[in-house]
Amino acid sequence: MPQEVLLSLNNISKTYDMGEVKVEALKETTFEIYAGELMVILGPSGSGKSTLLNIVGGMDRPTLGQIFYRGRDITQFDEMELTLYRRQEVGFIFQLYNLMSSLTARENVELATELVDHPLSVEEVLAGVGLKERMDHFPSQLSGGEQQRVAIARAIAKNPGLLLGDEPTGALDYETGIQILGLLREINVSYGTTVVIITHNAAIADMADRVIRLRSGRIVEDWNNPEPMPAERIVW
Amino acid sequence: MKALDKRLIRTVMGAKAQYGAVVIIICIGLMILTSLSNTAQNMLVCLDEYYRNYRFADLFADFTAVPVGTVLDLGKLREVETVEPRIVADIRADVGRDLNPTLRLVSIGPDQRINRLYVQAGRIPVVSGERGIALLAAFAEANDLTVGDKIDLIIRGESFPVTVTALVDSPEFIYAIKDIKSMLPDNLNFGIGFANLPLMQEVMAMPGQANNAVCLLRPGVDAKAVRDKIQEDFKSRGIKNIVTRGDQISHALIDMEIQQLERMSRAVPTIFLGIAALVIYMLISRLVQADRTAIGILKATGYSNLEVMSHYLKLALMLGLPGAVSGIGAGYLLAGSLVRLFLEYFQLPLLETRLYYGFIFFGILSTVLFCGGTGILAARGVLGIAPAEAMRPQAAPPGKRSLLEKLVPKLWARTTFSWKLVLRGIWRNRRRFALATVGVALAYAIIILSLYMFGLWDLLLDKQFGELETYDYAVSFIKPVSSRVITEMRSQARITTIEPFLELPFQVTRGWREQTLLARALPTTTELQRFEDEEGNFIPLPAHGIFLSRGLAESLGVSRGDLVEMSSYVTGGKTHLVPVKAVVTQYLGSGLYMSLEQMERLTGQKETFSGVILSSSDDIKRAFQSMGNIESVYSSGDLTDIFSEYLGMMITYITVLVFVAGLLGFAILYNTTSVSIAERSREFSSLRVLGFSQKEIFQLVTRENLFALLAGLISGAPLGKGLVVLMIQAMLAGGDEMFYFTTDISPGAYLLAAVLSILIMVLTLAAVWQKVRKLNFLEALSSRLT
Repeated sequence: MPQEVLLSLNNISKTYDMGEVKVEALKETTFEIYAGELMVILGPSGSGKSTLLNIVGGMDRPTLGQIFYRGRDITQFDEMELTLYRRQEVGFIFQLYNLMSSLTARENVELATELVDHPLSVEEVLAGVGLKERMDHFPSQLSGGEQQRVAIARAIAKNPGLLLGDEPTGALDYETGIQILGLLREINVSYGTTVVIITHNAAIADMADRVIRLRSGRIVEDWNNPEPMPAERIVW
Repeated sequence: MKALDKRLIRTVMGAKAQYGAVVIIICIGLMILTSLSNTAQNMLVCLDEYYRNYRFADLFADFTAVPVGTVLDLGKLREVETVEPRIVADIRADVGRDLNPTLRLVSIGPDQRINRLYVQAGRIPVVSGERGIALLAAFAEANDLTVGDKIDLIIRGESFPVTVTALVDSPEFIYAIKDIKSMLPDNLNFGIGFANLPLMQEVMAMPGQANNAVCLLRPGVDAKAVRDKIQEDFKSRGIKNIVTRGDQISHALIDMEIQQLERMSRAVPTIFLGIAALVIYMLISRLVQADRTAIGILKATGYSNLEVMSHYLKLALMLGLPGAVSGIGAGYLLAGSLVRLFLEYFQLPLLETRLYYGFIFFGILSTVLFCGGTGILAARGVLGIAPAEAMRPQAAPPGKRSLLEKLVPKLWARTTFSWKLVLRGIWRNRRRFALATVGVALAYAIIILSLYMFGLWDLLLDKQFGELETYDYAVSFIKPVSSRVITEMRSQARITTIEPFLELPFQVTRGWREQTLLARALPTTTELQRFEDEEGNFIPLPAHGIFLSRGLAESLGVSRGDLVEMSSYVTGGKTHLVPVKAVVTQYLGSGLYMSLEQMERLTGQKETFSGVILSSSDDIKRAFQSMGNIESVYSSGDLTDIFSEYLGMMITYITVLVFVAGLLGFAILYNTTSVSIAERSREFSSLRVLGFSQKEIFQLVTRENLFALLAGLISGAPLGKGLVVLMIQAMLAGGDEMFYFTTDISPGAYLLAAVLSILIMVLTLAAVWQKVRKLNFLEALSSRLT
């Protein structure tokens, strides 16, 4: 069965102008993200993976090239269209969770659901990430893993087509990290959400359907993983 | 409620003191706005109704003693609806105390057609020839007189006993002062008594005569045109002076008072709202900086710039609107009693107090404009934050060498580490430092303004009586005297210096502008009355030409070197062109001055004086008590007393202002300092981990604040001066002839304000110490929350 292309990147370059020097973060990058896959983008720091994620997530614009999301060129979007793209199509998970400290777990999720017309049920999503009993706790009353679960709930409650994780396990211990990865796979399977995880941790690639390896702003590897490993079997 | 709104409420609740201070500032501003506006509006309406119901005259004419029939001829003019012939005369009255006050006797007609009296007690003595008198209530009260008491009118050395039959108020004497020079009512020494015309004709020995008229004009008639016509027509029939209602002393003064109140009701709240706006700007722009990551997340999640900005705008309105609503509420609660206080003070009969709710709208609108405007300005920072900010912690500010390091490296090398930390911290966070400095400067400036307002009247009195009018007493005579009187007076008291003066009314015209006023002529050699020109130099009185006080010059549109037209009944209606030799400063009241020679040229009157000014350490009032022909004796002390009494109300108001200034100062400093602590908890935590004690961190903050204090005091001084100038401009916006407010601020005021600012800083630092003590550095360091 031919896979549906969700996102297609066409010769994407990004150059940062740092006054005297120009830094080329991405160099003519071309690849496609298919609907429903779990993709891992691997690379050491400085390889351009965060830049790539920002551009894919509609938070930054490429210097050159085009990106088609379901056939629409998002590089041509104006500020409001980009905002709507982020609002309706993308969910973000950050390395540092980035929850609002003065809002409870439930309210942090509501922050996202209030933006869209057909969100998932906040309670169900929180129960789904294992926080049924702790919905009304403030972030400071939650462990790091629990905070990251809230962040994931916040990202998926909008029911986005694309879930982007920036080192989602970077700040967590091994066991919690594995649980979070398992949760991401579960979401991928149960909601059919396309998940893109960027990480420097090569072990995580074992659970992906597809892996892209970046180095110095260029794709150096792009392969399909015919037999993704369940998250709980990953070891690092 | 939306999650973002919940966050907003929790943000405010988490820093109640900071945000509360802003709410209080706005509350007080709006309270002043609504209460003063309502008071002014009520005064206007009450005055208007009072005038209408009590048939306040449109024209007031002085005549020499003429047959009543002459005055009644005024009624033949078709513009005149009613005319009332009167006798008006200033006499002394024995009211049973050692000094006899001046009583202005005003005759009343049997049917009270014009300037009707408002009876507080008793009945008006309208029966022809009845030996009764109605006294102005304020005068009666000051002299402990009531209905049924007997007083003696002293006329030409003779006593005429009369009975007080009523205590009254009059629309003509709301502001009961002798002449424009007295400026403020002195109810103990000057009062008004109303008696029927036949009695007046008898005691004044003016059978069948009158010397004054009041007229009501037909609706829609131009009063000034009628006045000019009467002046012309009656020139040879004894008319001395005629003024319209607009120039009538009592009305002009009360009108000015209401205008002043209106200006205050705008100027003071503007200052409060301006300060609130500034604090809101500081709070929100820094909150936006502190919220970088949160803003990044919101944007990444799909919130638009507008939605995020409106989040912060809501914060501004969340502070502004409760402040406005509570302030307006308090203002309306206060308005009722404030209105009564003012009406009582001005002896306006309390007709009806009404609250005008239009000011609610005005207050809310001003608040929304001020707070919303600054909210938008401050939240602009949101635009510059990219959604990708959420991906990374904020980059550390670049570590740069401070200016001091670059300029004087040797001094820098000898500076201890903790001072280096302070100096580098200031240099690297110039914006934060600037805000703290602004905080101190604002607090300092507001205190300077309050102290200036507090000392303003003292300053005016000092300047007026210490520098310009250096005499101890001014004596006015009932009938003009010759210079012989000086010798006579010298024989009765020890007098250091004595100078005669002649005061006569003139109509002064320049183009279409004109003023009727009392001109005072003095010897050119006068030492007791000094004149200061616009540049602040003392100048002698010239033999030719006149001096005009600044307010008068402005209202006539004249400056030095211009010619003005002067005419008077004493000039027989003839107009003279006279040069203005200088515009002089007069802090209290207004005046036109000339030499006795110049007066002689204008009027032909020579060796005739209407009064003397003198310096003496004797109790002049007692010494001249028995002398006939003395109309009044005023000491500069009396004037100071009268002012002080008038100031009772002002002082209460200003004490409140000073207290509020302190509160504001504390709020501003506390805000800037505590925001800085909140921002720096991570930095302080790192220092704690490095081994700094709480005390050392507190020292760090204290030292930084010390620099801010110094910079704030230096920049606050000119700012304070600026506020004073603004305030005075606002108060004088309508062109005030009565007062000249110098904007000089005494060194003492600067010093006291500085001491108070330092005190506020100490209080703030005490609050900071609590914060530093409570700082949980481990939590602050591990924080992953925004």
